[in-house]
Amino acid sequence: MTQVAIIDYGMGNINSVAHALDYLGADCRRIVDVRGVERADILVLPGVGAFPHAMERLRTSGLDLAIRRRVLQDRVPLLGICLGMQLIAETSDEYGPCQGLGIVKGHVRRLRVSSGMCLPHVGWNVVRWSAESCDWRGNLLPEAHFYFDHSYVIEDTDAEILATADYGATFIAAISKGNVAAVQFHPEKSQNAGLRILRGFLNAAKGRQSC
Amino acid sequence: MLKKRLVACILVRDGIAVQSFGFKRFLPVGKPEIAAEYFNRWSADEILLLDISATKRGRPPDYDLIASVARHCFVPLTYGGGIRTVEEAVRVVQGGADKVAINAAFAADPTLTSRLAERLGSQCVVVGLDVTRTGEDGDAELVVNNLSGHRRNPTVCEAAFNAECLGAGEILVNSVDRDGAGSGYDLGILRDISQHLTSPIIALGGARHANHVLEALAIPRVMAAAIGNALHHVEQSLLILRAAAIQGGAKLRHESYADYRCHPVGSDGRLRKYDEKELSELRFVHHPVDSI
Repeated sequence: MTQVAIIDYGMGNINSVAHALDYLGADCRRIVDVRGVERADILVLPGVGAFPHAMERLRTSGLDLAIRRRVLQDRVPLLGICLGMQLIAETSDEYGPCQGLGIVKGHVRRLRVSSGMCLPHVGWNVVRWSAESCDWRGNLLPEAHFYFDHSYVIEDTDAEILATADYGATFIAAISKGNVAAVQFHPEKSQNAGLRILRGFLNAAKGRQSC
Repeated sequence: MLKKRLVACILVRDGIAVQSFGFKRFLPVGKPEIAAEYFNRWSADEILLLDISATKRGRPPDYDLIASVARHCFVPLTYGGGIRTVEEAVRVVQGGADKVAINAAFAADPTLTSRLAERLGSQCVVVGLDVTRTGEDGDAELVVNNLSGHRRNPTVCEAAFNAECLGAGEILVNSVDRDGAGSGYDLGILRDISQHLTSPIIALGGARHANHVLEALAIPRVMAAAIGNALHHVEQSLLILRAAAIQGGAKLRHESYADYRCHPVGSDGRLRKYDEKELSELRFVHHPVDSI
């Protein structure tokens, strides 16, 4: 059975991602070291928190190089969630410039909100999916809402933009590039809509492996 | 645009989910995780799990309870009850909660809020304020450790403002004297507090009907309406309440095949029967299976 590895680098609530994948019948386990990354068939990079702190944790455990090698050379499917989406970019402005994993081109910047709107952007928001995202959406209801919890977003990326959302200005909510996919919202906390997206990712990842 | 939230509140007393009346009388409902499972399926925007016996009995949070509720919860989970230290809050989050709520611990040491915000982020910290109007003049007073604080309205607002300055992401305003009364939220105090804050407010205590939800959500900064008692023992209670609130103009999310938005809802919050003509037309409508 395909093994889904949730990378646990001490940032955020790993259990909820595990529960959601469990619910979908995936064989998932949390991994903490390079060996786990080497063995995995599908990688999930979750996370909530500050970018520099997360990168430091990935670097000290050697996970950053292992993830890069597995994703870029071995073409292992990767799903980035929230902070995980930002980490795969090249750089971030959060607490000063910081290098990311550089799996896709792009920079992470603070959300441009108008005055009177508070950050972080927390809560349920509508996500608009592009025409290219149909493999992913499956039977998603047209007015699907997703749960967001962030202040920063990826910009200027070379990856395909699957979805956008609005908070003050339009920002990127989901991207994909070959075997890499990432979402800014929390699918594990977005009820049925989120579970459908996770299902879409798992199906796409498994399809990619079998061909 | 960000939607307002309908929050399902599960009150737990000694490990059992209860309906509470003024925090004095209680009716048992059953296992908290089963209530969570139903509320999750009935499209709650968030689940608020409050252990009302933890602080009273002087024990730490029940981590097994949190883990078992989190397993059934595919929406954000807020846990409150018995949290006194940053370490306990971190364990609560590791156990599967997305936010932690502090109440008695905030009253005892407000600076805990900033330490929690530093470690977990502001978005993770909810400060709960218990408010009552049982005093002689009927002004809103803060309840601290189950004793009326003999303090007046401004101090409730001051406490809320103080919590926000210390890094609380949200303020949970619980009206103790309205708990279980079903007469609606204490709108006066919600309005007062909302004038002093920029962070979102969660209203709790007293709601039974969609109208109560509408009234509270019409106040700026009140981003979430929490309901407990009225959700138990009624099939799809949350979906019906949500549909009725949306009919009334509330900006709530709606995502379910169980759609009551065009269904007549009575003033008691219960569904009315369609008339025979409509029912007979329904016989050949195809309803897709809600498969994931």
